[in-house]
Amino acid sequence: MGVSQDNAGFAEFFAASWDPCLRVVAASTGNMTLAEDQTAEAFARAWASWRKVSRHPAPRAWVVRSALNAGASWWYRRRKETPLVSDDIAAADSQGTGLDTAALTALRRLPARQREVIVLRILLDLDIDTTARQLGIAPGTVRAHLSRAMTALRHELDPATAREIKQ
Amino acid sequence: MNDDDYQSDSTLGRDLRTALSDVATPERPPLAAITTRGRAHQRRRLAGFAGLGVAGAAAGAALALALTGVLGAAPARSTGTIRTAAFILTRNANGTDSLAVSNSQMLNPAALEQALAQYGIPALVKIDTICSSNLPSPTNAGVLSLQLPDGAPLRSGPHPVLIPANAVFVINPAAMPAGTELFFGYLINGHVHTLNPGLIYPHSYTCS
Repeated sequence: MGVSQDNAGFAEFFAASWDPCLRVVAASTGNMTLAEDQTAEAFARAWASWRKVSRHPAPRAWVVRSALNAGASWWYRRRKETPLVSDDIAAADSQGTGLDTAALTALRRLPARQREVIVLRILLDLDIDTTARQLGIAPGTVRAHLSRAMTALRHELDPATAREIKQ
Repeated sequence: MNDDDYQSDSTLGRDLRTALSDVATPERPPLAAITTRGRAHQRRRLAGFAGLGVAGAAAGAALALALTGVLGAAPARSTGTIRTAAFILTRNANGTDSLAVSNSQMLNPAALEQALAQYGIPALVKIDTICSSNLPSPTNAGVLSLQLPDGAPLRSGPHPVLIPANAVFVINPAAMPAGTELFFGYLINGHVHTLNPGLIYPHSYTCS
């Protein structure tokens, strides 16, 4: 693959994938400004490693995970500097962006691993095996996390229905 | 729930996807802004590889000289402390080791791996990469604890956690399960460096 083909391939991927990746990162963090920066950072890393990323079975998943990993360190720094500031920022920043819907708010309340599984399996529509490879865990573990996450989301979004299913 | 069960739970999945598609996104940044940022990553990575290449080509005293050239200071063994510009590794009296990494100096992965190996700690160190073990994940209970700069202790959980690079890691090699090695992912985000620790099986792990 030549350099110009590399560049053209990345440009095409970037144009097609920016919005979907940004939405997923924003939905996971609840903060559009932060998500925009994290996603740009992840695409920059993807550009720097494009020969590897272009052969990845799920390049969008690579970008999203990379963005969320970058965000984790940002969040950690902010948490140390100003306790709970991330929640405040998320609440203020999500206004008017559509990030404060019940479904996405419930998604953000899930434990990190369950949220990752939902992001990859449902929002990015990867199959179970690809999701498992992405996370470095077994397909059975993905199913277990998925099941727990769906139960928690059901309970959060519709407690009455969740109780009926449980009974 | 198996995969088919999930498919049958399509209402919830559809709700999530609909909510996602309704999220308003700002305008896509220009491609040039991304590639400029990407070039900075490439430069940093090449700088890291240059250090690795020199270290890989040398042996014995030549290796020490090469690292001196890269890091500015050769590891000093006699004091029980290995000190470089980028990190300080100290062997404690109780058999644990303390690792402090500078937040302002570029870490050379090969130098840190070599220093840990000197103290009998097998480790894999990578830049801008996070590796996690494939199943079964080794338990890291008691292997790593973290001391934050403000003095607060923080014990690492079952999964790798991102922590500031200027925290102090306390490593207990005796608690490492057989056949495992430490992993440190050194992440560079602008001027901020963070270290992502974990425990992996060297024959079965995945990096992203």
